[in-house]
Amino acid sequence: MAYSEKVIDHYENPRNVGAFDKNDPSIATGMVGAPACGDVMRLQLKVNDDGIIEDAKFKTYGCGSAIASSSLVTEWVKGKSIDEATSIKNTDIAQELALPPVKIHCSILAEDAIKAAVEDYKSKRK
Amino acid sequence: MITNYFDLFNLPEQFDIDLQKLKAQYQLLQKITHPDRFVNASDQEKRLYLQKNAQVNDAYSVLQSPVKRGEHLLSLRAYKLADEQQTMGDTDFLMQQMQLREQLAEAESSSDFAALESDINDLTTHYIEQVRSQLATQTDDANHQAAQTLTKLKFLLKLESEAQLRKEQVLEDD
Repeated sequence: MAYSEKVIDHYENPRNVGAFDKNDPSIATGMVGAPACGDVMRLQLKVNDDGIIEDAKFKTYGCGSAIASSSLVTEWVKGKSIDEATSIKNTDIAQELALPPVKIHCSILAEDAIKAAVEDYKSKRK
Repeated sequence: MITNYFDLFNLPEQFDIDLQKLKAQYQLLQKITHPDRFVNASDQEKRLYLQKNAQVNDAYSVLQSPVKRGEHLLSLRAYKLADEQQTMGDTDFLMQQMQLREQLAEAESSSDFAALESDINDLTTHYIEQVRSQLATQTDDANHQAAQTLTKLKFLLKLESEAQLRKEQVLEDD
């Protein structure tokens, strides 16, 4: 099965790989895993006082589509508010990267990573 | 209605099974249902035994694997297993998985791999023991916990096979 050019681009030049200090109050961390393929994804958002995502980093162990999905998401969430970020759907990711049906779960993983990070942000603000 | 593979293999319906007996039963059932025995049978009978033979093979692969065996037990209890596509969000477990993945990515020597394999083995043993007692309990709660433990074991199995693959690549280059 051939990867789309966009997947290959993100896979070969992943954007925003790395980590923030998860104990920093402005950092929201989302961890998700896909049991079917064993992929593990960590997405971290740096959120300013106005609730805007200033920066994002990810680390993913998984296939090219999982890496591309998380890399794309770090680009998309920057400059968005927390609420806007949660409106990103896996179908948007799958469409942008032209993921085949068997790789849709990679985009679901990326969407769930955003949700998990937002949950972490909200629990830290309490 | 799902077929009870434990019944098919004449084994008690529980997580711990006698693997010797499983193998012996498999060889017996294989022999009984083998297509070669039915060259002179009618097409209908052939089809029937071919199906039976395929079922024996499926059942054997399920009962051999602790994770699949555990999931089969849960299915027999009418527990609805999560969709394969569903993600899991146990942060502590996933953090640990991430650490082990990093350890694997950095492993270079045979002692690095040995240390990693021993960590993976310890965790696998731990979760196997956990799922054994959860499945023995047979309450809704325990079934749910067992399903979660089986999910964790899937990650460990995947990690184990990736570690094996990488070890072969890395150590071969030396």
